[in-house]
Formats: sequence, C-alpha cells, structure tokens
Amino acid sequence: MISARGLTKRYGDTLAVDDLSFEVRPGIVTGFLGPNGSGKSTTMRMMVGLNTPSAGAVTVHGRAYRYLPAPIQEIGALLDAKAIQTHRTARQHLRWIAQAAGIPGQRVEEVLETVGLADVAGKKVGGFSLGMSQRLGIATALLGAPPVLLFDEPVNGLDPEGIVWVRTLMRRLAAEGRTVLVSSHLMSEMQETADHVLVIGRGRLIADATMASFTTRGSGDDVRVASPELDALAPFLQSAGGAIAPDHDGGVLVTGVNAARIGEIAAIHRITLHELTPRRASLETAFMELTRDSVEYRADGSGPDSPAIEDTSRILAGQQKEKETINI
Amino acid sequence: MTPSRTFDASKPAIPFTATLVSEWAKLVTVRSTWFTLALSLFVSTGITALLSWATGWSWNDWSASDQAEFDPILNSLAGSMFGAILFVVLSGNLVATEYASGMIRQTMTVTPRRGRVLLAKVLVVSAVAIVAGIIVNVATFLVGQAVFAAFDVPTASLSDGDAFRSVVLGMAVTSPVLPILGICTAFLFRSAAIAITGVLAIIFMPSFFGPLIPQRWQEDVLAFLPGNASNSIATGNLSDSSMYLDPSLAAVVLAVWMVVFIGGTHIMLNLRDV
Repeated sequence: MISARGLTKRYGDTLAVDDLSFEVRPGIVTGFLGPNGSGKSTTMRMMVGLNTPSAGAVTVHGRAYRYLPAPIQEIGALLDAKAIQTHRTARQHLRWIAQAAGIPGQRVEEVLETVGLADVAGKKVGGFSLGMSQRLGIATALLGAPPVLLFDEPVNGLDPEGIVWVRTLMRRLAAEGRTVLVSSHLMSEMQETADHVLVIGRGRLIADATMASFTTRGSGDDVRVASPELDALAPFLQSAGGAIAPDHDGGVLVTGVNAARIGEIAAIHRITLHELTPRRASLETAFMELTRDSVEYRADGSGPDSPAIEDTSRILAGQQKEKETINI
Repeated sequence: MTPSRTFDASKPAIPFTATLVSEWAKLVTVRSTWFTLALSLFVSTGITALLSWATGWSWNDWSASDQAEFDPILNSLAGSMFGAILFVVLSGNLVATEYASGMIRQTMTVTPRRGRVLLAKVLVVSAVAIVAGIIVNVATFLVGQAVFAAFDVPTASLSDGDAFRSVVLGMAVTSPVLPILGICTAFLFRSAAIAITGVLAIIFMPSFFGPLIPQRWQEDVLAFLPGNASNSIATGNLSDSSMYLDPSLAAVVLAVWMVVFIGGTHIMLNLRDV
C-alpha cells in the first residue's frame, strides 16, 4: 500500500507535483498516466526517497521510505533503466545491489532467470539494448521480492513480445497480492494491463478511478443510429428506455438501449437501418480529453489556456467517442 | 517468496556492513580502479627514478654543503606525490561517475540513509589508499635508493627509524586524507573534474603561494592546509620549515579537516535531492 497525502514538489517557481492525494492498493495493477512532464517520475522518485517533498508526504506501509529498515525488500522500483554504469556485467550489477540490501547471491540468479537475461548475465550492460536494460531494471525491482513495485515506463524500448511479457508479469505480480504501480504515457498499453488508473496532468491529480469506470464514465456507451425512418423509430426507442441526441450527418446517438436491442426493435417494426454502430469511450480518448488542458507546452507553441481543475466527470461527459468496429 | 501485504516489522534492518561490502564490490568491478592503481605505481617509481638519476648524474657538481644537506629519504619520495594525485582521481571518479551515469539513484534507493553511502565510500577508499599508498611508497623509496647507490650517493634504509616513519607510518596515516577530500568534493559538485581540480588546489596552494606571502601567514594559514599537515606527520625532516607543525598538532588539524568535510557533505547529501 502506497499513500500520498498532499504530496507537493516545487522546483523554484515550477510546481512539478501539486497536492496529490491517493492510495495505491495491493492485488491490482494501478496505471499511473499523464503526458510527458506531468510529474509522474517526480512522484515516483519521492516514493523511494530520492526527492524530498516540498509539502505533504508519501508513505509505504505507513512509513517514509528513508525509514524502512530493509527498503528494497519493501518496495522495488524501476525508474530509469539506462541510469547504470556500463562497464559492469548484468550479474555484477545485480550483485552489488543485492549485497547492499543483504539479499543472498542466489536471488540474483533467480531474477536473471525470471527476466530472461540468464544467458547474457556475464555480458557488460554497456552493450545492452534498451529492451535488455529494461529487463535488467525489472530484475533490480524484483530482487528484494517486495510487496510493492513501481515501474516507470517499463515497456519503453521493448519489442511486441517483450511488451506482452511485461503485461503478463505485472498481472502476475498483482495476482500474487502485490501492490503494482506502472506509469505510462501509452494509453493503449494501460488499457490492457491496469485495473485502476491515476491520471495526472501538470502535477495535479485529475482522475482516480477503476479502468472500467474511467473509460465509460459520463454518458456511458452509446450507439450511433442512421435511418431514413428515424421519426418512426424514435418513439419505439424512447418507450424502450432510450435517450436520443442528434448527431452529425442526420444520424442520432442513442443511450440506454444497446445495439442488439435497437436492431430487434427496428426489425419488429420493419424499419430500415443504414447504420448501427456501438461506440465505447477508449482510454485514449478519455485521457486526451482529460489532459488536454494540462499538457505543459502545446505543439503549436501556445500556452495552456485554462488550468486543469475542471470537474473530471463533466469533461468525460463531453468527450468525443471513438468508433468501435463491429467485428467483435 | 510470498509478499507481505502489511509492513513487516520483523524484517531485519540492513546492517552498515552490507553497504560497505557493496561499495567494495563496486570499486573492484571497475577496471579503471586497477588501471589507476597500476599507473600510480608506474608514475611514482618512474618519476623518482628519473629525479634520482638526475641527482646521481650531477652529484659530483654539488657543493659540499648541498651534499651534506642531501636527504636520501625525502628525495626518493618525490615521485609519490604524483601517485597520490592519481588516488584523488580514483576517489573523485568513484563518486562522480555514479552521478554522470545516474546510477547514484540506484545506490541511494538501495541505501536511502545517505550518510551510510558516504561513510562506506570513505572507508573502502581509505583502505585502498593505505594499502596501495604504502606499496607505492615503499617501491618508490627502494627505486630511489637503488639509483642513489649506483651513483655512490648517500642512501637510506627502511630499517632506519626516520625512513620507516616517512615511507610506511606517515603514509598509513596520511594517504586517505586527499582521497577523502576527493570523495566529499565529488559528492558536493557531482563532477570529477571539479573534485580533482579542487583537491589539487588544496595540495599545491602552499607551494604556489607560500613564497609570495609573508612568513606569518604561511605559519598561520598555509601550515594548516591538509597537504602540509600530512607532510608534517610523514616527514620529520621538514622540522626547520616555517610551515612545519608538530605531528600531534598536525594529526588534530587533519582530523578537523576530515570531520568538517565529511560532516558538511553528509548534511548537504541529506538536504539535496539525488
């Protein structure tokens, strides 16, 4: 369990992390989402005591990291896989960390095996690809077999096979009852992996929700319907409990009735449908909407026009929804 | 291993010896450590051989009074100063390369009590500096004496009390001083270049500025710099110098320098983000 209370980090005039309060719970994978520069890494560094909060606190099992008697046996972290001295072999690198933490040498061989680096354990890490370095960083995090794990952008530089491997590993660690916090700016990756999401933008917490409620919150799923006989169809949909809102190109958006039911109603009444498209809010879209105002610097060079203090459900309600292909 | 869901107070605290062992492992798994130590031996003996040869070659041209004042111990150890500089390079690099690579964050994550990391680095570097320093000094001394002997210049033997004090005992006490300053400066500035330059400035300031400033200042200020205090302990032969400190006073001076540097670095490490 990780708890942040009013966590704040200020660098000069810049507020990198702004009054974050959240809990990361065991047994699930929690995604930590935000655009680059939103404060994810700074927050994670404060979790392991590298950076000191300007205000507030973050604790692991109720204690500040610095006062944990056996720190990496409580919380393992992958922060920056390439921040490593290149002249040591993978085994030597893990060895000194194990020695510093009082972990037996046998555990080094175990984690090398777990991350698939056993064959290159004697090779210098300077020659490692980014993907191999990520695996070594994950091995470092697992070394103390800690109940809490932090991974900062763990899939960076991994090939598709590696990405699936990381995803499986995260889920397995969570299933073992561990607390797993994974940061990413890749929304699609999180959709597959995380059960819960924390979203931050410009240092502020803008969403703390389950993945399911995050993607379907607000108006929920809806169905786009187009028909030459909309006027005839509408009363039947309304009496089935549907709400109808106009959409572009003469179509309508129906909520409260699913696509299958709409098709049945149309068939019963012999009404022609030209389009029947169920749409689900994707994490990507929800995230883009949510963080639109909190990206520090826009691509067009203009500054952010409003602070991201808006009510998240309102933003989500107004979000654009992506079409979902119907070949499911 | 099964994870504990709640904080497990029974988990044994990591002892300081773990940090010590890991810092030792780091030091010996860097090739540049061995390279720097070997270079230190080579440079020290090489420079002493050259200087001793120059002495021997010109010996017959020396005036009788110069010949009478000739100190075979001090003159054979001239090369060791260059070896000592390489120890500073070694210690500065040990810290600064961790900052340059970013690995310091790993170090401080495994051992969040930063004073332990500082102390462990100080101790492993001191151990290496003492052992390597004595080896380099003895080798340099022997090379110097061998060259002197070849030219019939007066020589000294390690069994002489003065020689043993300068070559072995003095080195054992003073060899960690400059590397420790190197470690502290590298932690403070996170740069090997600044650390090495800073320590060299402390070493050479008395030689550069000593002759330029009034003798009273030499006695009051420069004499208390760590390089000079080390020399006062290592070489009783300097007792007629204006900057000579009584060895017991010099030992106190060195101790104060160490406490100030290590303590100050410890405070700064705890105040700053890694």
